[in-house]
Amino acid sequence: MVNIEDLLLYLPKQHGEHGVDATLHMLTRRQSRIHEVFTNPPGGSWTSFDILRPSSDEVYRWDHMPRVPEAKRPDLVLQLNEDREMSFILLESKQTISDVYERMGISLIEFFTGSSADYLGLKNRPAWHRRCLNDERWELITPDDDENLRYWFRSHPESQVYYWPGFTFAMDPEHIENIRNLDTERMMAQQAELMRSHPDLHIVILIGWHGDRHEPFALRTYSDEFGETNLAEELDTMLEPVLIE
Amino acid sequence: MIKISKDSEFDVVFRVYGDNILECENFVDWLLKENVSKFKLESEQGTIDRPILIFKDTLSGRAIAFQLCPYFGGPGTQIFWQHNPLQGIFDEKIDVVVTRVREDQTESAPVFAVEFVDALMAGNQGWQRFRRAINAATAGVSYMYVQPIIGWERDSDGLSLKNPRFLPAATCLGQLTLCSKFGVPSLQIYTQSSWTEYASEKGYVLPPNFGNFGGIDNAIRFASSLIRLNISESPQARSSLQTALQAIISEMIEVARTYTMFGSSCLPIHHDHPPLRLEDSDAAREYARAIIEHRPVQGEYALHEIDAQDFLRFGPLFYKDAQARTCTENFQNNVLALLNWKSSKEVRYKVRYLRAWGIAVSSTSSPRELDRQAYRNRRSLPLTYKENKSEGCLIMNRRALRSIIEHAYPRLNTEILEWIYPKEGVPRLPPIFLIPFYGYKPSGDSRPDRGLIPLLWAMFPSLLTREQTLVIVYSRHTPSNWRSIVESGTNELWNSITRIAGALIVDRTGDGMLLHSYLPAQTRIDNYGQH
Repeated sequence: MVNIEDLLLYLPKQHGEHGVDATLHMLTRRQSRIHEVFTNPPGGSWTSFDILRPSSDEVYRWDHMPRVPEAKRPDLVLQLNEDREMSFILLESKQTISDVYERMGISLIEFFTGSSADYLGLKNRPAWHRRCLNDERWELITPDDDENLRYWFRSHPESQVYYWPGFTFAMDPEHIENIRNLDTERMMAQQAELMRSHPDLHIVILIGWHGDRHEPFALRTYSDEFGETNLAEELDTMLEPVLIE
Repeated sequence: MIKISKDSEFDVVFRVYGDNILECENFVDWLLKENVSKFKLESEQGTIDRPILIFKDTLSGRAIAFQLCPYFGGPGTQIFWQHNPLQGIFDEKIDVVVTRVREDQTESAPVFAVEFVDALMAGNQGWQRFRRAINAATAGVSYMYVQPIIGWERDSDGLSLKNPRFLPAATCLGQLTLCSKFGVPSLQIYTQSSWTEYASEKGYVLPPNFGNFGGIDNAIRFASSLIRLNISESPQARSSLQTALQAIISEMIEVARTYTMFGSSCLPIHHDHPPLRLEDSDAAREYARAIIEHRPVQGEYALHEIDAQDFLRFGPLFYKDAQARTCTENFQNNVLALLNWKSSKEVRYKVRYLRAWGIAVSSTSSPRELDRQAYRNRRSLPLTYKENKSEGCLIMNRRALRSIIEHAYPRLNTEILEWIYPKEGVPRLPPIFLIPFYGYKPSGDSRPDRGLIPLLWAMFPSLLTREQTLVIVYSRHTPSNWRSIVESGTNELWNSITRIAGALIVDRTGDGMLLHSYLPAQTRIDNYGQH
């Protein structure tokens, strides 16, 4: 017989960016309001973006979306549709807070909107597959299909698409034995400062681990603008199992 | 936080190590397909990022825990966990490895390993990950390589379709041969996608029975049976395992049969080999039986016994494509031009080539007569396994090869020349398998090339022995300190050569080294080059 306690004490020596991505990804699976468009944890290179078309029950897939030098492919993309409006959270995840870089937020948005003649951006490319939400089978959208089907994202009014770039990282040091000893105030101040110095970022999420079982926890800071949205409320609901105030 | 009952104890626990959380989920999705796996998810415990999933085996009623360890982490093959399931087995991190946790908290060797590929690999990308298949087979670990039946290239902006990507026959044959040699499952699993239907509508070549392929369901049955057999021996589980194996191998044989005679990738030696030649053969059953009995395949279906006679009967004349800007003029003119045969070449080229291999021809012969001479004397010429562009050749005439190499590389150590063909002459030396190996791009070593020599070894294990394998690294970007890189044993490109080859020549520096008694710095348990 193997005791659960022994299993829970089988821990990685380090969590890092892997742990950040695994935590956020598993949180998206526990709820259904926010749709996970894309996640790309280290150790692989996924290229498929699955986007919900507003006012429909269909998911469209842009596969073959590799990394490009002209823009930053996000590590996690989340979506919330409200009637005709689409809101996207675009997160870059890193090992530590010091990994933040200039224009991170702008570059994440440019992956969708395009940055130059050399890089069109996801929204200006055709979708290649679609499926109904209640059907697992993908259907190919061929080059002969209607342009309105292939390029619906490009045709969608810009005023109805919102991008909220953000940065997520592991606490340093990433583990704390007793969470009550966490200097939350200092960390929140650090996040606020990061946001002030990088005004193109609207979301900052720290992931840490506590206790002898290394349970994950999150601290988040939002821009005022993002904080007023329904998406912010939904994101808090998603993070709720690990969120500390 | 998730509530945990402190009293929970499990009879059986497996650990699912993954390259990352998504790979672990790919495997969990297999278990979750209850109508096929016959496992039912009962509860989830542990932390959010590293859950422990409790399944009930609906066949035995037993509770089985699967603890996800959703990332290896760390550089190279080092990992973040106390137990390293890759150690001593895998040269590279594999997508999923499943082990069993013993009561004393130690772990078993891997029960099986899985590699998931979303986009079908084309060209040399196809063999990039092939070492993982060999690592698994030589360590006796069941291995599944999951990939789509067909893929499609797009232009760089993703606006239009370019060419379909077909399954590569060589990797399928390599894995079938590993099954044949070791009696260990090295399986390819083919997944359906929306591209399959499109390719079929457009009339592109697909395996004839692709619509009925079991694909992932076969993999689920296979993995579930392995899990059950690992817990306790039962005739039902063994019978399910054999049925799943037979179905998977049958699909692999169909894929191999389809793509060994397709467009420019014609592999006549394999296409004419009994498991592929006979459409109604019972090769899949024989392979499944051999694997269940953990023994090599015997008799006419034994792909691992392909030998020089098969090359002599069916092998085409060798041709390798190497662009002039990637290699030196010396390699192009004094090595490759004497290995490569092409009917479209001019008379002078053909005469020089044939004379280099000891065939007396007149320089006034017509091109057609020279073609006839080449085919009449093909036993004395470099032969390969693939029409058109190929990667390696079998050379019976070692004496002629020595002269060619001696002329191209005058500073080469005598011991390498003696290894190729001793001056004193030795009767009945086995043929040499020569691999011209690119290895280095301008930006550094070429990752796909790490899989080439292992793939060739898997396809022809009776020919790529230490005594017979010669590698010429020909990239003009090969670092001049290559010898110290080889000796350090830390570069996996060079390790892929030193594990198998008996001799190595580096074109850029014009020298080389003997490897027949060479032991890599990192000692390993598989050392597949010795098999």
